[in-house]
Amino acid sequence: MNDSELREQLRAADPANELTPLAPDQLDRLMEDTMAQSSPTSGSRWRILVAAAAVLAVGGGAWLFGSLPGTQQQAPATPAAAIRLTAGSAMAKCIPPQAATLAAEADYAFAGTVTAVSDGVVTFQVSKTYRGAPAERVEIAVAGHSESLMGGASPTVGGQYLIAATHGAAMGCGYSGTADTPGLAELFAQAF
Amino acid sequence: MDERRQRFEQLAPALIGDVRRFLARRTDPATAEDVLAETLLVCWRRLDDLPDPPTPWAYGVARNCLANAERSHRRRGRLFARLAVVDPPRPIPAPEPADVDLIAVLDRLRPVDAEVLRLWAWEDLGPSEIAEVLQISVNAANLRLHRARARLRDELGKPDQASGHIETTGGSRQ
Repeated sequence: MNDSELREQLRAADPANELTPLAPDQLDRLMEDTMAQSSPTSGSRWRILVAAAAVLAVGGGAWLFGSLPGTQQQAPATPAAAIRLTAGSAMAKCIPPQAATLAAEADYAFAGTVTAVSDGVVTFQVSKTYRGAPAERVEIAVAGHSESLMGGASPTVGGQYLIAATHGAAMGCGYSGTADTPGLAELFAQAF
Repeated sequence: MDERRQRFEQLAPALIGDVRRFLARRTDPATAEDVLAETLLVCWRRLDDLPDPPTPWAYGVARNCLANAERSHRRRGRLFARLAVVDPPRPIPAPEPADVDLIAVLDRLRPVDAEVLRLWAWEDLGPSEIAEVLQISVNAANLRLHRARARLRDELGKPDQASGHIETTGGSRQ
């Protein structure tokens, strides 16, 4: 069998031969969805509590979450006492996590232990900062959608987590989780 | 920005078709849809870096995204992961392999050999494009392709293969 016959035989077995084309509206939606994700401030699955950021930045006098977006290069010399993140919306559609995305999108990442869970805020004692300014602790506001964010399981005091954040909000979809989540530590090691 | 959008809108339909088929050949429909979205996003964000033609480059991105997707499947069911079911992907019709036996033969090859054959026969790529997808040299791509074809011929010629009825036209094996 020559190369061309071999190629023809393989082509006859191509699983994509049976793939139906996307309908025009599906194609349009896919393109729109893609382009809608271009701007970090629109269509983002995570939101920053801008008003609260301003208050904390002034009141705390430290680098707080108001300055998170894209500012890993502008980290201050002195560690902040606390960084506050939000948990974002539960309406995110997940795409599988990948190190390149994590490296490109996360502007803050840390390993930490939960020290308190109260009033919709989970507080972490930071053990290692992968990216961003070092902080002693990080708070994540999960009010309103803690159940969906936490995957139905509440964070418990003493639990160890790896959390990545972008634009002031923790990233879900496999980019944050308990430290023993299979593959997560490797993902962090690859990305940072 | 409008110029960017225009360029993407012009380029995306063909790219989407190519990458969808690429993924349909390698994974299940749900994963294919997720990885397609991820790949498009990378293409959109890096529109200025896209070579011409963009398809082999996009295949390279899709390959990496797929490898990560497959890793992430093992990670499901933990904290945060249930976000994924909030907006479940619309299923793409599952492809029915036209020749299951040949697919089985491909699966028996080493993954690197099978992949280079898929790129050659199904994606219809030449050695230089295969080199771009796999991020190897053109010489290495040529060599891999040559070896992979030889191994496929060997497999097809094996009398004890599970699929049984595939015969080579040449008959003899080295």
